Amino acid sequence: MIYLDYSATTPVDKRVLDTFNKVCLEYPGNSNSLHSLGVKSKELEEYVTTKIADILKVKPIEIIYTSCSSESNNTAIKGICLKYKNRGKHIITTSLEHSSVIAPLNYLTKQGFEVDFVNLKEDGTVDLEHLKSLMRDDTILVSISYVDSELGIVQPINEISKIVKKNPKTFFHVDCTQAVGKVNVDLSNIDLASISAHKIYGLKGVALLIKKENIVIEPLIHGGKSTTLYRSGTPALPLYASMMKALELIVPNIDENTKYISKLNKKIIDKLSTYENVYINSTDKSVVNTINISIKGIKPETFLHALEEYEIYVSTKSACSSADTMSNSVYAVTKDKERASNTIRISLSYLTTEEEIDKFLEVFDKCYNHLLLRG
Amino acid sequence: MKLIKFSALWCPSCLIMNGRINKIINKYNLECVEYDYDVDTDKVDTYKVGDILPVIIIENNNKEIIRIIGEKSDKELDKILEGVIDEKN
Repeated sequence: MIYLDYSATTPVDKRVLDTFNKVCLEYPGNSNSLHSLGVKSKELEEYVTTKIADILKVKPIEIIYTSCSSESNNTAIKGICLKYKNRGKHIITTSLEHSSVIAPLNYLTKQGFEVDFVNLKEDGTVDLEHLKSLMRDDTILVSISYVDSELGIVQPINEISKIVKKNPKTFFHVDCTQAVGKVNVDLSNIDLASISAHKIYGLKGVALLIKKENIVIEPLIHGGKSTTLYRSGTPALPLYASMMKALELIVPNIDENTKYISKLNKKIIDKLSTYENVYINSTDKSVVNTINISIKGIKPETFLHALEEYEIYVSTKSACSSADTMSNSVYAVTKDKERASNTIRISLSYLTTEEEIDKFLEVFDKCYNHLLLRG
Repeated sequence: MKLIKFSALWCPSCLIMNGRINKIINKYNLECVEYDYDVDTDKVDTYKVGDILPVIIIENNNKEIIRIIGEKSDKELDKILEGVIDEKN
């Protein structure tokens, strides 16, 4: 089996799973209970939260545990907009955002909010001059992903932040789901950040929302203080500990992993660029982990299943968007509907071997020639 | 005259087009019916909505007179609708 869909999700690292199991078995108490079992769990919760904060260079009080990045994105976006709606109802975002950013924004427009989309340059990064021109006195939120899920474009977050922060009433939310573990994320100029465990060899079911200390948001789940006021529910200590472990394992190795993956990336792009009907949609601003291509003349689903016959797994586009429609992200950058309707995403990991890439390229060639010939 | 809109909550182009479509509705005094691409799947099939969203269908006496697919600017919309329907009908 050759798995090349690491942007959709990653296999759990055994050490992360071991941490989860250990905490499940050895810390049965609810960390909000007053008895000794509860106190023991509370102590671990505080240790885990402090450790996560250290790795991400934020304060422990700024960490909100959630179930997934979709929840983090919803909590950030609706939380800010519902809390500060009296200050303004204007929001700015991009066409590269995940459905869990676009959907709450769509919801908010039905509550009277207005959303503007900032233009993207040819390389997929935000047009900073256009962003400046869109900023208004009543802009209360700018939500932009650090790295998007389909093209893997790394945005100039610090440059964007400088523009956003010229208006003291505007909050800056960054979806870091595809960035953490792939690039050295700098959260210092961000008000709210979403991070998920399952993209970094952690478990599904746990994520973070980093919210700067001085910001108050309206919670989505009202239920009193648990780990924080902003997300009620019994603390899922084994999941929090597993998230800490996943971050601990991945963050120090980003540079080394990037160096290794970039060789695989180059090998794939060099080879795929030689095919007449293959278009590389990723740009020089994309992370090396993500290669987005279009094959004109072959339906992406057909190609995906042809590769699957050889136990090679890629995706047609972000697993979280509708399978039947064109890629808004690819369209936003290429302005080519055919390319946007025929996208395939190959996503790599430090676990991917050169042998796997050789095999993938060999099978790609076979499927490409066979399917094009068949018409 | 009736404007039928197919859109989805997660679709950026639909979000971009919302305001522009509202302008058309007001300009041409159209009755508006909205369908969700993920929920109203029977209507998606009936109207043969393809894979690009949003889709706007304008009907007169239940007969389709024009279909607009995907993201269009205000100018493009004006050009497409010019001569097809009259302002305020």
